[in-house]
Amino acid sequence: MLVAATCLLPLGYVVVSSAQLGPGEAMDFLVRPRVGRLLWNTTRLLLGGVTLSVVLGVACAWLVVRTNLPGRHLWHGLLAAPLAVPAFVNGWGWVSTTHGVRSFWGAVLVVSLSYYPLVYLPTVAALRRLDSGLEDVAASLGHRSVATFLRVVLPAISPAVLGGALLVGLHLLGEYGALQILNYPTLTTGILDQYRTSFNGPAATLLALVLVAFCLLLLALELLARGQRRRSRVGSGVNRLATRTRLGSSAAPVVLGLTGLAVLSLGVPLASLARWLVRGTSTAFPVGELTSATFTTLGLAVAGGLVATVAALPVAWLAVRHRGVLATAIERSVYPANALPGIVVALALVTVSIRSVPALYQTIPLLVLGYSILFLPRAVVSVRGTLELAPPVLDDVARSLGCTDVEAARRVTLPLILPGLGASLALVSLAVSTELTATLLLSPIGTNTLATRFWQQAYSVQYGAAAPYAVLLILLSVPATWLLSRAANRDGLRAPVRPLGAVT
Amino acid sequence: MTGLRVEGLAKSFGQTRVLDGLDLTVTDGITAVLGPSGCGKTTLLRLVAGFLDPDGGTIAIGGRVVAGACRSVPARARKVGYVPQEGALFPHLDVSANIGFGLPRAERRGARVTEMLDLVELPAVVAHRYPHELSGGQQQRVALARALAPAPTLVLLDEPFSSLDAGLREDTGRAVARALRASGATALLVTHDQGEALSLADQVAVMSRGRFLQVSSPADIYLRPASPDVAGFVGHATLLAGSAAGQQASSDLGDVPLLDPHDGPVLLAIRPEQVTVAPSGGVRAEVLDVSYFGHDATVRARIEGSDAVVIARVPAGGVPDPGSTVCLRVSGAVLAFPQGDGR
Repeated sequence: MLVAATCLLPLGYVVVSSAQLGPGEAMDFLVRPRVGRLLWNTTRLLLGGVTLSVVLGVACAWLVVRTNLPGRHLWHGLLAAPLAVPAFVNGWGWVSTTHGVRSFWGAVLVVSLSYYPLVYLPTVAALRRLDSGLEDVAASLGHRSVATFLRVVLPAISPAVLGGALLVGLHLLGEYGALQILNYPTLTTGILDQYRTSFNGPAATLLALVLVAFCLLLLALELLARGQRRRSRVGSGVNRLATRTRLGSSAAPVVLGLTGLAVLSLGVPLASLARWLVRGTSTAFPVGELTSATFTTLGLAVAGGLVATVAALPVAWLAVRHRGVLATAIERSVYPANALPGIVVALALVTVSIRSVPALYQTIPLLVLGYSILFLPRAVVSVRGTLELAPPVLDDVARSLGCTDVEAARRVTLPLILPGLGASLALVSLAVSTELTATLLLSPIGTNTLATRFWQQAYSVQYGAAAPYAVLLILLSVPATWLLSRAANRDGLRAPVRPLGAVT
Repeated sequence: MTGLRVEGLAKSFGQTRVLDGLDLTVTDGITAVLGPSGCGKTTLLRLVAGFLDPDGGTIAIGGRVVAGACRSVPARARKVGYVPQEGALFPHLDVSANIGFGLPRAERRGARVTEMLDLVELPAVVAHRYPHELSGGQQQRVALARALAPAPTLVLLDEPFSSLDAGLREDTGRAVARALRASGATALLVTHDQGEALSLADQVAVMSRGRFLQVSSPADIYLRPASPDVAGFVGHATLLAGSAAGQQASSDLGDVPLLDPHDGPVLLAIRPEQVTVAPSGGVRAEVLDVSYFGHDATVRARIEGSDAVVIARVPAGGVPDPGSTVCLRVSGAVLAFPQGDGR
């Protein structure tokens, strides 16, 4: 209950503080041309970014899973790898290479290159789980492969694609670093600007309200598109291995296209990273600063991971073992915070702490609390998945063999859920270590993480000085990306990325 | 000493009364609780195991009251072995650790584990395999070994063979029964499969809607069912109205001899194997359909000039064609249940 209440805090804050403003005042602010421009920018970025990500993600997933593309495992790794490059590092890579990307199309390109794996990974998982018997049946009913894809495969994998598209949309709404560096103002960058100039004026809150409305709209759209249709498998049976489509003469252009994608999404940021490391005029390796930032980052990451995992345990436990209205309500209440951009959560915590518990303002506990709210859904998803592996009948058996409840938990449940707890800790920690927006707002003065140090340097056009931090950030993101891509590639039944499970 | 004594056991979930004043005494050997799904048999098992508390009545295991009269012994202290559906082996432990789970720490890797593997007729090499490396039948045997290892007074088996395919089910069932008898434990086996209940158990309790219809030996259940319901549920039986006069009754199948003398209206329960199908000599009937099993066949036929449908079992050699007319005759004495005037 406490966990749920804490998670609903940011949403409540936005609604309440906006309500405190007079409606007339609010309207005056919202119809200003600048706000209109922000809205327009945000909308077209959403449309462009989500569309491009879906096209790239689905096409690549189909190529890797269902064709005889040479070197599929290598391509799978390369296609998932952009997740390891935080979007703001990617943006910095592009900007420091060419200023041509400081435009709408540049922004669409950069964010899509950063976020298309969010569509790619769930689509790969869904394609692998899809019983190819369905395609065989469609073929036997006289459909050609394109028609089969459109009429059978696409509808079947559409929940995964939609879920991925929703994730991309929510990420785009919350994205600050990449867009700021690309000089493409959206609602989120607008909120931070307002916050900078007027600290915590009503303007920032109102923009946050608009942003929240956007998020809820996206969630509603996804629910609507998903509809009520049944998508479960009918009947039992073992999944057969899919017949792969022969690429034939189109293999060469396909490989060329994928290579181009890899160059754009990975090559450009990594190359500029290497360039700045080697010959940047401002490049320096302040070992002391680097180490202290790394340790701060790791410390915060582990603290955030621990708090989120511990908080996730009761929520997941209720959801799995005591299904009921209240339990579902509590579990669901965890997710809205996840759909809220980091900036809104941070803003809410700043305001609430200043008003009610000033002692907490600008402290590490508040920062860790912010991380936990932001990333709790990731923890809940992993812990929940793992709890389902420990059915209650095992407890019954243990008790009939003479175990007390505590002993049963120690000897049966804990060993079974330990891997899931570990995964949850790792996922949240890694997300925390590359988080920028909330950290900028919530971290105490003098507390520098790798992300904030990178940001300070990159923002003041000290590109070379930013490079070492970028390297460390990428290194920190690699394990989580590897985990996610491996999970998508398994034939297992668990979706590695759930629609609401991994939003930053 | 009795293994299990249940008296007046009652349990409701919300408005639904699942168990309604149940009495059962289980002595040595295997007792099967046979009933359709949803009749409350699994609830009975969970009450005995101590996973649930009854609303009323008492449960005594080995002469000790474990539930009822304001006391409830927790599951861990009841000394009851529990074999759930599909085994539910601990997936993170290998076979020997699973079997040793309920033993004191010192004995977990000792001779008792080998002894148990031997008892359930598994080779010693499986001791270090993990549950996912075992077949369904092997998993069930390990689950039984795990339940028997701490030498419980009573073993509860909840549909232990329902997840196995037909061939494996019979083998595993026999092996489990042998192991139970060898260990000398009293066992309560819950099942909806009448073949399993009749072939494995020493005593069968037929359960329906929270009550026992009859508790007796497998032969009695089949040959001397206490009510038409039991006769219809255990083995097929054609239920036919008749009018009895002493050792004879007249019915649509002609005059038939009765097992026990009755007078007045009766309901006759005729087993398929008691009906002979021949080209002539008996009551004429039209064959509706035939299920051919190889070793024999079941024929459903409607008696001419009546609505009554009779089920007959015929040898593989003499199967009539659907639609043809045959003659039916009853051989041997049949069971009759007196009917009140209201019926």
